[in-house]
Amino acid sequence: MADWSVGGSGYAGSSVVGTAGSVAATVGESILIAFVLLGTVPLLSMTYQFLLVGLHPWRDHYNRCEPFQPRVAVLVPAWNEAAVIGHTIDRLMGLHYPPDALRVYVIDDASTDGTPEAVLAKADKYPGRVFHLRREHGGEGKAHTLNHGLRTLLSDSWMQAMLITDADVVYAADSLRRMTRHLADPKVGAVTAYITEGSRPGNYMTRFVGYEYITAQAGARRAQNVLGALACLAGGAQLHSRANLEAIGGRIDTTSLAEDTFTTINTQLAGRRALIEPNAIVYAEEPDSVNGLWKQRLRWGRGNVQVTSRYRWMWFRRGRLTGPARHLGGIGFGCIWFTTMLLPVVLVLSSSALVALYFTDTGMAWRIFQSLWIINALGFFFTTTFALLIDPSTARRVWREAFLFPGAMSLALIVYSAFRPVFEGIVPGADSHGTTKSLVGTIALLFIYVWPVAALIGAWGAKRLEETKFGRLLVIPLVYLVGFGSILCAVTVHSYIREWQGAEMVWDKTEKKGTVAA
Amino acid sequence: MTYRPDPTGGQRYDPDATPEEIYREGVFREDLARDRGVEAALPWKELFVLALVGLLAVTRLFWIS
Repeated sequence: MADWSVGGSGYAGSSVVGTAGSVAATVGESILIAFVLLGTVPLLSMTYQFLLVGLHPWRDHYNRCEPFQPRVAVLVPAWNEAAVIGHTIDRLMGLHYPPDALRVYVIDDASTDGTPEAVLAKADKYPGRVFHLRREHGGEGKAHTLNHGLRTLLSDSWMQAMLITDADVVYAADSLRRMTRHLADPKVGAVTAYITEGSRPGNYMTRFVGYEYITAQAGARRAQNVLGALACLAGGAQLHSRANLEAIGGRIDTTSLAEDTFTTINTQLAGRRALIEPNAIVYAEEPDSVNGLWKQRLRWGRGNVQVTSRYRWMWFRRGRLTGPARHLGGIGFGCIWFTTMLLPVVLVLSSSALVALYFTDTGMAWRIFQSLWIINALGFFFTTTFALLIDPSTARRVWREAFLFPGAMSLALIVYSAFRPVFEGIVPGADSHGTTKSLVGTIALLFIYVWPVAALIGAWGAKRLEETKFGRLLVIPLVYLVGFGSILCAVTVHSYIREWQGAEMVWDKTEKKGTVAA
Repeated sequence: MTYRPDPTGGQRYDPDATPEEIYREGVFREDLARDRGVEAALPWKELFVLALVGLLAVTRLFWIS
């Protein structure tokens, strides 16, 4: 049988100097190894953030809180939200907050369904507390809709703070008072809440989002509290002081698809802190399909590309900034931001370098591959377990999706690498040193090496498969195989492509079905 | 509020506080105590130790084989 191993004699005793015989080859191999190990960056970044979460009890903002309950105007942009708006208003009116200090303004963006009637019915039910503001020419996007309401509310003096929310979002009864107490500190301009996926009964996709939100909201944003810089006030839960709204110009940026991230960064650049109150809980309905998710995240992804570009003078330049804004230019915050933005590049570089290393030194490639996945195994174990413990009630519903977040194949690689001796011989034709004796074994090995990139293609395939006749059923096992994380990464690639193409900025509204049960 | 900041940086009791202010402050203190408890209960120390033990275990598995 032919020996399909290439580039090196295997495991023990092999060295680049011995096989290539040149310093240049050693340097080249070192560069390849460094590129391969870039593949650990995403999970190391996540581990870093979760270690910061551990410091939150010492770096939270509770020492500066007061029983402060300003007059709050709740701004709800709505376009064809008849299915959910009535329930949302009822829940807002039921908040544990002084009734005379709480008003709801629904900004109706020229809805063509029963939204106006639903809002007017609630205005009759809660006289003087619920208001219907209609735009006759809508469809320009959420930021324009918000600005319509913002102009109205800033024109009189009643409003002391503004809560920007979405029509499908449901607040826990005690959430608003938990948020407003932070505004007692005049250095705080805006507060967000922990948005959790609230669809019931939900499906596999909403459970994936449920787990993602534990990591991205309850976890990562606590870490950002510790760093003193917030990446994004959740679009459905932004509480601003009036002073902050005036400081950022009294309007929301309309030139981007990420108006909430722009508002967050502008708040901090204008000299006030933005922070999360992780114990204020807000429930939101999230997409229940690959294509729904893709549409939503493509908008977010393009918005983040725009933010990255617009504030390019800010990243890693702490010295240029003053006040709370200087934390935006810190190394820690910059690393967290760019780990997400550059994830596809990192994966492609890592996999390509591993394949190149395979053809240079098979044994070294195998060892570095295992090192990569062992480090990933540790990061994965730590962050997943920690995330599930942060929010045990959600964890009981989403723990399977938590462990399958990177996909069944990646999970198998993590387990295999961490406990390799137990699984010896499972990879066809591969011995314990990563050399193979058959063509099938070589192909299998290379496929494993490029899996992170293959999973991105698989994620794209899932999007296309779902559009077919039986796609919504067939796509489920594919999503579990490639992983939810791969879908998010593929959407990031797509967002770069759309921005590069200069595609029109269309506000593709996520369809809501009123499934939030909280 | 039932307590006001005093010039020394501490707080003094405010005898003019209304019942509503007293109630609001009570709720505020209950919320704060509960939320500080939630933050303090995050099991990061235990997990960090577990992660280190795991690192040693898999490193050993990897290098001795």
